[in-house]
Amino acid sequence: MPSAEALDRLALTQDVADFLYLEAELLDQHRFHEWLDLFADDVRYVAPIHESVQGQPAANGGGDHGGPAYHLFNEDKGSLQMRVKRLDTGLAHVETPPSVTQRVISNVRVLHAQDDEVEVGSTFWVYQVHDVDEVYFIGRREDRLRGTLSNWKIAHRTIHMARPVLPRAVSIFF
Amino acid sequence: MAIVTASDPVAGLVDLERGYIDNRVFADAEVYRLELERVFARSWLFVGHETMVPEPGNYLVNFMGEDAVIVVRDQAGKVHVLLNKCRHRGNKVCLFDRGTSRNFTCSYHGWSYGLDGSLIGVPMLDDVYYGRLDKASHGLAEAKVATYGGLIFACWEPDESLDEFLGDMRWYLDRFLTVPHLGGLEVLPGRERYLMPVNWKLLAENFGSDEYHFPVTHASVLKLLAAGNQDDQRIASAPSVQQQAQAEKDIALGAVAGYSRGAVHAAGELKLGVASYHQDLSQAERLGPEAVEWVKERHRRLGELIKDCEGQPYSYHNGNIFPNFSTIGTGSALYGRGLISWHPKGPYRTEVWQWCALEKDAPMVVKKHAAFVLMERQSGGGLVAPDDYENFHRIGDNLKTPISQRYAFNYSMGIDVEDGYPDQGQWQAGGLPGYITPEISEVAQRQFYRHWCELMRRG
Repeated sequence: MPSAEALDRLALTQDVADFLYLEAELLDQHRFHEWLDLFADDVRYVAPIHESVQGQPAANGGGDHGGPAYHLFNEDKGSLQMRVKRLDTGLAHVETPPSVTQRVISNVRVLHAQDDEVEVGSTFWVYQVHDVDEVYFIGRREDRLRGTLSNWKIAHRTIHMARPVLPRAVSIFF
Repeated sequence: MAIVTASDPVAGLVDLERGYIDNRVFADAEVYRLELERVFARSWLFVGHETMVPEPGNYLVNFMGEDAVIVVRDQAGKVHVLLNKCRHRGNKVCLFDRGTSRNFTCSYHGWSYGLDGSLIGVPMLDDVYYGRLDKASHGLAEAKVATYGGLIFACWEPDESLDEFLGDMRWYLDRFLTVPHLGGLEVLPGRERYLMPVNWKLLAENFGSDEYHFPVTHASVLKLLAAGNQDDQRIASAPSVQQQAQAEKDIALGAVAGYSRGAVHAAGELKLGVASYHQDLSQAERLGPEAVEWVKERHRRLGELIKDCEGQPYSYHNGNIFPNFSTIGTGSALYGRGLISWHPKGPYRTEVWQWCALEKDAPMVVKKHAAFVLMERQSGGGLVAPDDYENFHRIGDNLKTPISQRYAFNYSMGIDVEDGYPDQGQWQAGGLPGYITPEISEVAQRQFYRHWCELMRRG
């Protein structure tokens, strides 16, 4: 007989997993405005650039020290809305006709839970096809969700792309 | 169709009199193989910036054409550009993207090289080579290195010095890109990499001077900005400011360095007047007094440098240094400078490398904003580049099929008036170096292929 604590944990994990699956479904169905609603107003949505560094990196500032940083994404709610509105114009050639995407979200784990926030790790496997161009984006996400069971908002997301060379310019979300 | 031969690989492929370029220039495997030897080996290539390797032992890896190199500062402070290839069995000796090391050791048999490329260690040297290996002649192959305003260039077989190679482009680099009067550039850590499914030359010519494509390719962005973009004010000026800019309207031109002779570089969206400055000022107001003060101070320092130049340029926005080093973002004080290499990876494939550089003397609030704007607009995941990607993918598809290959690309825009554009005398007289063109023009592109042909013809 599993303990009550273990059952709670299972319920929480399943609940946040369902939330992430729903998010993937909204993106695959191009329901971007509903997708935006999943984010807290103060969200940070960040995808750092990863490089392999030997020993001490050169001291050229930036990045980790609160200074300027160069990322793949470094978004807030406003800039995410702007990206969606660009797609809304109907003039974005890269999504004309819209890409077909199929997301697989897996390895969902609750890493930490405190008060009304949970830290969740997950992996993504995004298949994208546009015309004859067929690519995969694979990586890991660390999310901080805020709320209660069946009622979450994404307050912080970090995206780590597995592949250092992205297979195409990025016109989809992760 | 003519077959591409090494003696004249461009015969029948490039017609600059009428303005046509054959598909094989962008698709043929033999053309591609020869251009790696004849164009990339003979041109000064951008490989990094001094701020990426500030201390002895700091290095980054890069490519020259398809050849892997290490850009490293030695113990004496000198920058070397070394072929990343062990002189024994040809293995790579440096495996990280960047970092700090005291030497480079091959993982196969353990030959090791100093930061200046010299061979310093050979396992069991006396026992197995019997004293018959000349270490001095087995250092890592080394390219010639020269810097300009902090930008590091390297070349295997230079025809001329870097200064001569850059020619008239130096005037524009000094004032608008490398900016010693603003403390120079600092390059942020983080180099984005993504694939473009098309020949590198189409990307280089686009960034150098293709102002024709912007309203069509990037129509989605223009529509977003015209609406004032209430979602993210960092990316757009308020409609009232846009109206003012329209009323003050800068003169927009292009500059071609190396016209009709030598290596060709282009500075596009060259703005003369006060509208761009006023637009920067109004954007800076949103960031606070420090940013406003910087935009004013920056303008004052530029004013000193151009006080004798009648044309009074404020900036150019996009440019290309022959062959494959492009820059973007210089059009505004509040836009990060993208330093871009179009690394060739076969006739149909280019790996894009992009860094973000900032003006060193700028206040932190401007630096953070500028890095954001570059990422949000002109990066692989930005609002702009993905639409270019799509066009280039479609072009790439059409380069590969036999009937499609019969139809050449058209580069004839303005070809009949190239010797004397309306108003050209006035622009040239404005003290702007190089050959000045209208904003939308294909002069720089024709010149790009003129120089490319000259290099390709030389065996």
